[in-house]
Amino acid sequence: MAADIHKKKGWEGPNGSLVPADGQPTERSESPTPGLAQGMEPGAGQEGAMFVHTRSYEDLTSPEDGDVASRSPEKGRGYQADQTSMEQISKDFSELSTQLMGMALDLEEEMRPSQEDKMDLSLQTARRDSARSEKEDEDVTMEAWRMHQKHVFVLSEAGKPVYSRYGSEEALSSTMGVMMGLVSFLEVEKNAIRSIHADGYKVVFVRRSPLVLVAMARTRQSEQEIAHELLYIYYQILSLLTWTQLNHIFQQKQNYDLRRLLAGSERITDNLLDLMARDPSFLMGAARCLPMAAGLRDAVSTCLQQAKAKSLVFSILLSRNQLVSLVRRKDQFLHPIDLHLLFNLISSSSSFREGEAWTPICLPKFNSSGFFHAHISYLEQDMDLCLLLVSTDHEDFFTVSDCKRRFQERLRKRGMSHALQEALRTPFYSVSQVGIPDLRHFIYKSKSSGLFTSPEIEAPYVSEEEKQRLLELYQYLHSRAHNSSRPLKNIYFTGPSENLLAWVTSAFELYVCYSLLGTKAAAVSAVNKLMKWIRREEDRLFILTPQTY
Amino acid sequence: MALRELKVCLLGDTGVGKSSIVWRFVEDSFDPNINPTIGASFMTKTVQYQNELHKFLIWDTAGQERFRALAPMYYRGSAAAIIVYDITKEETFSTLKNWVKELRQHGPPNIVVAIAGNKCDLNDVREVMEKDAKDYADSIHAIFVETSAKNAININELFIEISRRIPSTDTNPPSSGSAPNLLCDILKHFTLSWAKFELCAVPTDCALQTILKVYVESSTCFTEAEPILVCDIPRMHV
Repeated sequence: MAADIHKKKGWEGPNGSLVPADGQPTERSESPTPGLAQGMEPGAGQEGAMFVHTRSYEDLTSPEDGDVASRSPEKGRGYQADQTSMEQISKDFSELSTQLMGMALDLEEEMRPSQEDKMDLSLQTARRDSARSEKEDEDVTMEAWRMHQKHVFVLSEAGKPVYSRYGSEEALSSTMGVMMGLVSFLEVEKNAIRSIHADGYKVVFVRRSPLVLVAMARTRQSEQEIAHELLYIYYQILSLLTWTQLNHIFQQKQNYDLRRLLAGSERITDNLLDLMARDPSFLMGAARCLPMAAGLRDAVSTCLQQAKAKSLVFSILLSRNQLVSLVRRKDQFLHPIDLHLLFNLISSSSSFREGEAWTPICLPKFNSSGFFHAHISYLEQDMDLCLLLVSTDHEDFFTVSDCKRRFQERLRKRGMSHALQEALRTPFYSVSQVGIPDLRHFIYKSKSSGLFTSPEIEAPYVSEEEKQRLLELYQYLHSRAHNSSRPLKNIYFTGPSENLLAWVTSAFELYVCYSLLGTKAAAVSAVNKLMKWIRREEDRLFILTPQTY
Repeated sequence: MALRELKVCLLGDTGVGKSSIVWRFVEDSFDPNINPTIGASFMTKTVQYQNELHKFLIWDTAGQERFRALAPMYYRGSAAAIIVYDITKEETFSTLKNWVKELRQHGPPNIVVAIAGNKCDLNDVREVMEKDAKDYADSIHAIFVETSAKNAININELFIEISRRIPSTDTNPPSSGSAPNLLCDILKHFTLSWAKFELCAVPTDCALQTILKVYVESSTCFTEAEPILVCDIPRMHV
């Protein structure tokens, strides 16, 4: 079960280069401009990145997915490649808003939550709290079951149920049979079913042999975004079994009941779906760092880096789905999807709080054919700081456990525990620190580092429903910006309760939410101020000097 | 006071309460909404037994099917295995019998087996009769207790009984009085061999005697190059 590490060299494609090409300026500009080269934007690592470089929806546009490849985004078409002045941007904005006029109506309609939706949300949150066993008991013939915002089903190609988000799989076997029927009916003609749009529902199909994943959603997400979430579920299953084992099983026995092997993991998948509905990390395809002084972070990283062992590939320190530090083997990069799966695993179970856990885990984007072995433990019981050590050797528990001990000892010796505890006490910063009056919230992602930052969600987004609505707005902007047939670089939109702005360049992505009181001109000029603020704070908000063993 | 490390692993179906038993023993706490273990969880606890300190190195394994293949990693080299079933679920008792079989075939030869019928506070919904389980345990010479991690019944007793059953290295020295010293000599000279040996089994009196015999008889040819020999003796003997 030893995981062999493939020296990955396959990501040197046009979107994959991790270092700025030769000849590009290496000093970091004081005031970021739209022409900012990748690797120079605020938050970009000074010594390369920690992550594999990714594109939005890259998996959905890979050759794996057949005909979609031909629809891959032709980026920058119809837009000037290099916009260099703010005037240009303002002009683009006004052009865009006229272009958007046609769709603004339905956009507005889509953004406005109907009475019915609100009811669903509260229903859904209530459901979420209930234990898994209650979920299993849910009667699938009831109206309440139909009312869920998003259903997710996983089935085998033989039509056997593997997973259902709500209700028991057995009760749904005939429904799943119909789904498989639909899939295979179209396959006879060498076609593939992608989605069905009807009556406010989107039914999205993702086929990853030997599994079929289906989502039935009433959210405002685009088809691509829903498909992307389904892929996460697929990777989640791979992380438990590996691709090799999954395929082997179904080659041996086509009608195998996979639920046997996945028993006990439903909670992890449920948690992933819930997390995707409220954490923008998945949407951004990036990780968020716990804000802390650069000096402290570097010192912690050094301690982590020194507590190394031969079999270690990644050492990750995290707090509630926020990255504190990541040290990796020199030639190995982590894929954000793999990191998200690790974060989800840790947040889905309280069983890691006691003792030291040692579990096989496949990181499907890194190597889908083998298992790594993860040592998971919390540093102190009442402290939300989790250490994750990823090793290649399943026999190495005690060596890896000793790494943890050495790391803790170093922290203690240098007296950093207290400072760390302080940093953990303020896991979010307030948007008021930026000093832009009408600014309510923003998400900024540095593409080259694969990291993003975002302030705490504050009033008026207080209730769970409001928070979710804000995320849905971002999802909408994101899907517009990354639409495969018509990607947009700049979006300005005046909605019923907020003004929104999106700005996507080759170096960064910025999504901003303003109060309704501001004007478009003010919003555009505030972007500059916001970027300057992020640049000023970047060593606190990002990991600029990632370390290797 | 002498410190001995005892490796113990917990086996059994998912949801029978393996982690709860460990938590009760190590932390003296109980969480009714405990999440299923993922992979395996490692904890230690040191207790005094007679004139020794016993440090239990506890491997709490996950009961789910997909982790089944990992079990040998944990029972291999264990001094004791606690196989847990749920007295309110008949099928968990069948699983237990499979574990006993597996330990017989692939486990260390002298492993102490303890059977724990957990959730004995739920007597109303009992499916496995105490007598049946006790008879079965006696037939395989296993320790048997019914436990309740929730109400802290028989948890400490279970571990004390394991301490008692695990052969001690110096309270019952083999017939030759100088044996412990000889053993020390072996350890000094062949630490590598010891490491391999420890992985294989904890020495019982018999195994110890066998090794010592080998040591005495073939002291001239017994070199570091043959650690496997040491490792294999207890099995051959059995």
